[in-house]
Amino acid sequence: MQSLNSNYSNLVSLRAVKKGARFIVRQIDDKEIRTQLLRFGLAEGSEAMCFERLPLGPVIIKHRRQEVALGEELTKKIWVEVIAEENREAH
Amino acid sequence: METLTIDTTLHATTVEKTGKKKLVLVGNPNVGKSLFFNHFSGLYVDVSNFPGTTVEITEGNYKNFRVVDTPGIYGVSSFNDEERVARDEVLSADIVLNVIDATNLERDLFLTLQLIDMQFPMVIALNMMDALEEAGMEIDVERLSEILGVPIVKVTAIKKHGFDELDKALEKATIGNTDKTLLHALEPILAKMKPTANPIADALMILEGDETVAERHAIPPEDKREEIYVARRNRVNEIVAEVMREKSKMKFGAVLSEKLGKWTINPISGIPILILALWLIYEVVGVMVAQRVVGHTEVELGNKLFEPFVKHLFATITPVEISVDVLNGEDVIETKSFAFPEGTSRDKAKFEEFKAFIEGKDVMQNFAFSQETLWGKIVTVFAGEFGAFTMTVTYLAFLLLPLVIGFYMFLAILEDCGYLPRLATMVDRLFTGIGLNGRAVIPIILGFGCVTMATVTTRLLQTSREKTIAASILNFAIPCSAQLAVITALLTKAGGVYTLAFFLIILSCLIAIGTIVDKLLPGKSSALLIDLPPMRLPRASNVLKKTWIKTKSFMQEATPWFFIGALLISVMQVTGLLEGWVKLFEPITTHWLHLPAESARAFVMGMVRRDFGAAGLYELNLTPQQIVVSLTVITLFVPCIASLMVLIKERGVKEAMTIWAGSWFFAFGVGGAVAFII
Repeated sequence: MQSLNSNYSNLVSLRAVKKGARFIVRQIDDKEIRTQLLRFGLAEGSEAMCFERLPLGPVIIKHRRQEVALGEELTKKIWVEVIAEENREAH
Repeated sequence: METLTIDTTLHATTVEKTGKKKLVLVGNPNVGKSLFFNHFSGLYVDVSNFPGTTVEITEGNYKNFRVVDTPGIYGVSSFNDEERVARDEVLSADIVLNVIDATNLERDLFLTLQLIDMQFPMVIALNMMDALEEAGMEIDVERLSEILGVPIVKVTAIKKHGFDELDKALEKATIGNTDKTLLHALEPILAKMKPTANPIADALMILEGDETVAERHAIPPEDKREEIYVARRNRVNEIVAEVMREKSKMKFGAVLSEKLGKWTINPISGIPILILALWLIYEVVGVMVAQRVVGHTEVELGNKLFEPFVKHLFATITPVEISVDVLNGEDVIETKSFAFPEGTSRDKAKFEEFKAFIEGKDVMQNFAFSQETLWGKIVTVFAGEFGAFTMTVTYLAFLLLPLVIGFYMFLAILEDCGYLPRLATMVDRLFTGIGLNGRAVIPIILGFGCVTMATVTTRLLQTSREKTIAASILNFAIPCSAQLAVITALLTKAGGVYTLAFFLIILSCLIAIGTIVDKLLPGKSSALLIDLPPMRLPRASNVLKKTWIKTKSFMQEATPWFFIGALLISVMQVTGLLEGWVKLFEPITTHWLHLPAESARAFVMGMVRRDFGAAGLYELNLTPQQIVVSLTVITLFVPCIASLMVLIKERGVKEAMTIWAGSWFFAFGVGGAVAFII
């Protein structure tokens, strides 16, 4: 596993993000996932929200109009910076 | 990779030969691409499996174009089978029609920019303009067309709006505004490449690190993928920021769609929704189609009409004894035998008597062809109990076909309304424990319909490892609809506690199989990464077309295997091998499983058709304990002969035979253990 980028102090894995929180993706630890997510529209630096999370299961993130479900294994490899705990009616 | 090189050079001449240009439809999954294809080609399409893969390609003709539909992809590359197939179709295109979901511009433009960078003459169809309006968004289409440098047509495919404009625009397909820095980087690669249909496109693939394309040109692939992707992503974001803006609040339809999507994923509401969906499938496919329609078609058309017709043809010159059961509803009210020691044509008087006897009655005719001569044996192989011309045809046309249509129609509806990926998400956690991810829910559910069909569907899983695990679970532990009716009936006899015991036994076997195969196979299964399209009403034309295409291709693929399977079993029957097998298993059945000797026959017959096995048990007088044991064995027992054949085709002889042979040991092993405990 790569070491965390030291430019950002408060990074958490997507696994730990609460439902409704908005965040910026800062680091993705797996090259293949990084390229696949780039095509979905998500890159390091993109802003998204945690749309839904299942107990022990996948996290669904929403990025603009697009919803993507990520299995538990993947969520451990995605590091984000939370910018708002609650989504205050963004749209 | 010699053959592939030949492929691309061959292509250059197709235009000259047929005079038709190849128009390739490209787009992300769920952008409504198939509606465009329907518009161009109508119902008359060719479905073919791409060589070496199991991905379907549909082709049709339109005006001066050969129209090719490709699987939905997020980019041209080689991450999975779908992408590899789409990649080769795109690379040999003369014109590209890129279909974009207007509500998902940010995702879809990534592929668009890649296609533009490949310098294809292209047209963009901006689909789902109505949904864009619902979502309260607006796109400056003129500006977008100016930035990209290609014609864009606004379309609402579902309402058939914009197709006339699209037809006209195809004449004006243009090469768009390619990324200039990329073109510069492509030069050294272009200099080294072999001649090909679209040199720039191939060169870009090589620059993006595509190994297959690089190999075709005997050039080492570059490793610029991530760099190029990041730059492309940034350009997409800039473009979207410029052309897209929020006009109003989301309208009711869009809000409802989002809410509904959320409800299907959250287990609290999602599980009831799943139960509702399964109940609907059960009522429609299980009760209506399987019991009513198939009950009628199989018995009335197959057993009573078609099979006697074929058998009588053979009976004219073959020694045979025909025993006639006269029916009144379900009951046999009279039985009479007619012997024709030299065939029905030699004994006119008796045959007339036979005809007079069955005249106007509801009868079931049972033919016993004499097997004393080689000819008799051959007739039995083709027209006997398991005959290739009799049982197989009845089975395929009157039993399997209605079921397959029913299942594929539901699958198409669930797929089209956006439910399947959400279901996969909700159940993902249940599958990660057994080395699969949520996507596997589709083949597993289908397995309760027809394991053969479900085995074909394991193709949608991403890695070979996952396909093996899913195929093992299906062929070891999932009872198909052919057995379910008899299993349910027998469990009703056995009672509640025993029913629960049976479910627990099968469930733990299913988990055990998944876990063991997961542990045995090297590597790791892929985690779920799935895009959730908006929930929407399924479109009838789309559902019908998908059902038709899938049914057709399944029947085409499975039919030869059903015939081969029937031939094998019939040969085993006439050579006495089948009987020998039954004898071999009798001691195990009586001593180890504590079941009556006759159940050995039921088990062995299960090799042919799983319902034969289950039905055989129904006729025996079993105690509740024996019911649980025998049902356990028959559920875990080998897949039917058709499943085995398809399994061989999908997963290879070695894997298929391991599963098949393993089923014998597993079924009798677990069955014995259960017999010992209860």
